[in-house]
Amino acid sequence: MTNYGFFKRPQKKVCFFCKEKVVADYKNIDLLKRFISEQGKILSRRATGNCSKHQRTLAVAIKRAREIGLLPYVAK
Amino acid sequence: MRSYEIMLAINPQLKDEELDSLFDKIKKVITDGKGEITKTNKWGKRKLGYEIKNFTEAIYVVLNFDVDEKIISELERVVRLEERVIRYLLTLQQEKKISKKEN
Repeated sequence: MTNYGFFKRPQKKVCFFCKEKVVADYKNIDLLKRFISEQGKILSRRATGNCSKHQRTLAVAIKRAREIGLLPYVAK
Repeated sequence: MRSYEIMLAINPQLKDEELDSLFDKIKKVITDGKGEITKTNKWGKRKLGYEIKNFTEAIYVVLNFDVDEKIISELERVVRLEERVIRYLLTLQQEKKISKKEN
């Protein structure tokens, strides 16, 4: 089959937490900041490439960090 | 007995002695309930993600402790009534269990 080169599939992303073998923690703000948008929203799984299990723990961690005031609910 | 973690966001204008008296008060609740404090971690002043009670920064402290479940309601009551604490976050520590399952 001829490969024309423009049908390249996007590379499959690997879950960061599976790869690094860490668990999302609400105290690790520098890590959590990588998974929120400029407005402070949690990035979707499509954007982060996380597996469903770790995306869930990540979402809980970000919400906890928001509650205690470490992360903003809405960033200006 | 279960292990818990509490994070406190404390009024940044407090002096050291007032901070110590606050810690003693909270530690007393835990030790009176035959609990044990395993770790204390003082983060110091940090900026808040958003304004809480007109404060823009707070002193953060993390306490890890093992205590009976019955004491938790008393501890929460004390912390909630304490005006020096702006916010608190109490979480159950289950990290050990999770790592066992994964291995």
